[in-house]
Amino acid sequence: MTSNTVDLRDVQGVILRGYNMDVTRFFILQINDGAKARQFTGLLVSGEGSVPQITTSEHWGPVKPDHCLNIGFTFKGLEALQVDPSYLGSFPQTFQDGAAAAAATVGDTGDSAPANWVGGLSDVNSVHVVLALYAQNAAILDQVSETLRGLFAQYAITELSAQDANNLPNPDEMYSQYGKIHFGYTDGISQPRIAGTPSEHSIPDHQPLSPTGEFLMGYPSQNPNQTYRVSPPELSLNSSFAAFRILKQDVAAFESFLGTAGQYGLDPEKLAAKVSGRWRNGVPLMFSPDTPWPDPPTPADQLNNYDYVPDTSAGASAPAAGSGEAVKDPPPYPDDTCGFVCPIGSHMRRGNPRGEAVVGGGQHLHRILRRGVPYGPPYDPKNPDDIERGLVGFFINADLANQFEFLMTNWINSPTPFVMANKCPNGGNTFFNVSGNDVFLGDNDPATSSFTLANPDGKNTVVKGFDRFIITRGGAYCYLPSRTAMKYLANPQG
Amino acid sequence: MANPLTFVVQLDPNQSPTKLLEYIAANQAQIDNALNTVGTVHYARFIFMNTNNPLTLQPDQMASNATHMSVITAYDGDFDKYIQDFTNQLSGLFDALLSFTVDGQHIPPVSQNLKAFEDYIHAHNLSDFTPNNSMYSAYTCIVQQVRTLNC
Repeated sequence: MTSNTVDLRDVQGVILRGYNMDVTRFFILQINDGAKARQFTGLLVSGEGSVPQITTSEHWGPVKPDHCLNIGFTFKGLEALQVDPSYLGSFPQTFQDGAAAAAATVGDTGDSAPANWVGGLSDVNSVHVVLALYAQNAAILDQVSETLRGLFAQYAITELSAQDANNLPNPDEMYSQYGKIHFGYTDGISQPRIAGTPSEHSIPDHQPLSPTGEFLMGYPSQNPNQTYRVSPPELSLNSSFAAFRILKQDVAAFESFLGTAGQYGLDPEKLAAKVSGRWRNGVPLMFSPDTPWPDPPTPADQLNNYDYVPDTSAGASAPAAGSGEAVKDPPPYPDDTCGFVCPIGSHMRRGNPRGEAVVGGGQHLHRILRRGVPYGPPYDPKNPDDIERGLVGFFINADLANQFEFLMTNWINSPTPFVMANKCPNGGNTFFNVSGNDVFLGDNDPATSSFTLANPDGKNTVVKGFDRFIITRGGAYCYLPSRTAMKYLANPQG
Repeated sequence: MANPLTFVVQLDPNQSPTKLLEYIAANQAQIDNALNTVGTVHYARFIFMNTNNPLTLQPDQMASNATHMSVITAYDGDFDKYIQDFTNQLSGLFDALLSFTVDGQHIPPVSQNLKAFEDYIHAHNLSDFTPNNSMYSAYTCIVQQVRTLNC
């Protein structure tokens, strides 16, 4: 597929780009009248009568809009819209079953279990729509919210809850294009570059382009012979799916964990880098094993241009033919097959193993687009508080089972090593250089939690006894319809 | 702890089982390579059977009189866990195999019909049902753990 072959005007904007707006509000909605909800859906496409319009992926030109709006429907929501049952049956079983049914699979257990979900999300039959409003500032957010709330009332839609979120500024000027999350890390650096879309030209990542069909239905997927589809065609092409998640982050507990670094011969920032794979300023360990600020510093456009193993995808990050971009050599990085520099169990390697050989052979696959936004006030270690803070948003993919759920099950929550056995020095082996679940997203329990720091001398250090730092406060599997699909949902008879 | 797959299918009498045998032989290196890449399969073998020879089920050497065919493996974890990666690696083999069966010819391409393929495998896996669901294993190690032993 060549560049920009996808009709960007038909794809919801949140799928193909981050908006980088200061404030966001996620409305969790219940449909009470199918016919009225179909009308509401149609208005969001047409924008008639000053109704806020769904934002597409089309380039917005020199002037950034003051707000963006995107929508996801749960399976119950599609039922409430009275979509033809024969078409509903064509939707993937995972989506039909919904996020609560997958809770045990993805580690949403204990405090994270659906029974404890907030904002009405525990009542899976009532959650029909997640409407995401992104705005340049709080005044615009409130102004557009007021308009939307008027429409909710007019079209018999109940607002179950609204989850507000706000970007955290990045104090590092050099990397200010990226936001921060409450754990203090620079975020949003690593996103798949999707064939046929402008993201082909995102910062280089030393990985093959992700096939269009991995994120949009109707195109060849990660399996060359497989195209994800639903029926009818109007609902399929350019639509996608997302796991909507509200993830509470226990920053105080995480900082306390970092305070144990001395036990393992590390300083807290080094432990923070080891469990993540990047220093908190975003610089990957693969470029700078010992300091977050190497000399010269890593350029912002090179923060993602590496692999963990010798080049397995030569030229993968080269600009598309005819793009006119210069090919830039990536900074050098070592062969870290054994995880001595960047631990195999680090969040970065679990979330995206790049060229590392993994069980199943699916390295470079099973990827997701992360569109999370922080919520809650910044954490001040000098004035600890109990205010809830975390990350909320969409984790987007064309196949929830083979991407989001695969990732959460086989790589994030995988006490059994997911990496292929490979010899390491002094009798070591990659198999022994990873343990436990992901430190951040894992379903961790102090009695069993484990994180391995591999050493070339074969004597590994194992960090133990840490708690779960992220609690799932809510979730919903959403269908992200294309513009065409929204028109169809609004008026199935044409 | 490994789990058993004892996948048995009836072969379409209107097709030559020898061709399936030849397909497998011609692609053996690719099949072995795919199994290595997937990394969860301890053992795998193809068995042709002739139910017209009820005492031993042995077919002739070219399997020309085979009536049934079996894939027998021991694998790690849940079969569905890596089904898509598995299919990515071996879709050609699965498509070929199904095209020789009595009741699976409608499924290829498996990559487009993953759920139907999964259901078909479960329905034809003798080990998924009583009384055939027991298996002895001398060890509890997974494939990658065994590979660290260099044996």
